[in-house]
Amino acid sequence: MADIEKIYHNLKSRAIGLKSASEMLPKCAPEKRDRVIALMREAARDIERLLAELEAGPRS
Amino acid sequence: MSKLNILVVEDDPLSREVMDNNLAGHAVDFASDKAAAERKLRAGHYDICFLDLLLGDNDDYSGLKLIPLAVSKGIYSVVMSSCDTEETISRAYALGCKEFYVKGNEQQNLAAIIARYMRDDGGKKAQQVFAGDFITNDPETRSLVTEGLKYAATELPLMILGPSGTGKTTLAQLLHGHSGRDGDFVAINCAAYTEDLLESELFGYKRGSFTGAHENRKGKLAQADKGTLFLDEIGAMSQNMQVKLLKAIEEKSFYPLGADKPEYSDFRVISATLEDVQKLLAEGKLRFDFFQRVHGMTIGLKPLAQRKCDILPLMQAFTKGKKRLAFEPEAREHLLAHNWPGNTRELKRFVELIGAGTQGTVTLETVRRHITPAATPRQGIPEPVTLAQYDYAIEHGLSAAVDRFTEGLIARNLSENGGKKAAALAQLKISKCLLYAALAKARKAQEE
Repeated sequence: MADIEKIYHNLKSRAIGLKSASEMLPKCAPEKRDRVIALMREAARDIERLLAELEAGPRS
Repeated sequence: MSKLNILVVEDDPLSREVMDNNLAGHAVDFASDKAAAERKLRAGHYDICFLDLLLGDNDDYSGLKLIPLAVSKGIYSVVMSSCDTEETISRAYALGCKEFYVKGNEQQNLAAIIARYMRDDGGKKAQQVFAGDFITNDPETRSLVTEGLKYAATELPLMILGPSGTGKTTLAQLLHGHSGRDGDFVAINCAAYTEDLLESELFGYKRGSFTGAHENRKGKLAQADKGTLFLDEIGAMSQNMQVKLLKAIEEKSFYPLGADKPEYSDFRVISATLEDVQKLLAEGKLRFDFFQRVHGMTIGLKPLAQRKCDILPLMQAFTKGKKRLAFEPEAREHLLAHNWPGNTRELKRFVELIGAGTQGTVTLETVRRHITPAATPRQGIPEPVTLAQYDYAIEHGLSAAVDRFTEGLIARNLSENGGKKAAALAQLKISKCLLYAALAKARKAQEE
């Protein structure tokens, strides 16, 4: 898999993870909720990083 | 629901949380890289393994490489990845994964996977079926029935084709048993009723709707609520009846005779016929719109003459718990040579007849006495040819038609004898030269 494809894949993977986690969040117990939110923040940071890599890299 | 042992191979901690949440109630173990997954797969006893394909940002499809190991341990392997190119999906299935999902709909997908696994126990139940509920050693029949069982728990209609006595009703009952539907299995033979009677049998009637209707009566459609309606011999149903039934299948509602309000029934249809469906459609006996509602997944059952490997196991099954029988070698050979035109029904009756006798070891003479003699062609009078054979001869000439017929006979004999060429040479009384020429031709046709 080419690097650019890997970026797209990781981007898709993190975004899907965020979507699934946000659907799960309302049903989470309070102690688990905080852990999930922390992981969601981490995934959001990953998305930010991957988008920056995309902006910096070649256009195709 | 019993607790399953599940391994989730997933590098993303957030996705692991999501999986953990959706698999609550089961014993769930996690592995976040290939080495940990290999270690756990080798050591553990898992029922299901969920695999992500790319484990890490720079990974090269480690998840794919884990599928053969999971499969070799008899684990039901399911890919859940966000990488869903056609090539990846093909590779995953080729390596033995059972299901492939794109991440993102875990709540519904995981519930459906677990439910399917529990019903089928990862395919083990399908194998048990052939030793008990539907006895067959014929690979083609096994494969068709296994395929049919995969559709048993869906809402899709199923159609069973095959000559009389091949086990269509038994198979329909088996499919109902694996459907997970709580209601009854309700069977009706459409050929056994006149149109009016069939209508009242299917839809039921209200008191006073016709002379003799002294009380309300539930029809088969209502009886099959939350269950299965098995329509046998659908080819015998009138066009008018097909239209009425089509509407009821489509809308899951119907009017019993004499009713002014519709009734509702959540029935699933399994239909069967011994006739050639294409011919029924071509002749207009079966409406195409009705056929479309009932045909879904189709399972064709072969006559016993084409799956002779089932004769002895079926006989054993018919005598289970009763007097067991032994057969002299010549008697056994005669049984296997017989074509059983009445199929399993004829075989069962034969076993009952033999079992009621005083013999423990059955002789050739006894077998001959109880077997229905097959019709022998009368000398000097040619056998009728099928329309397809006749058309082929007209189009390609007699010589080509004879070759084709010969090759067909050889192929069938080889199939019935498990590919044994010596048996084909002896039984068909042909030369090696002819046999090998036919095989070469078949190979060439396959390559083309």
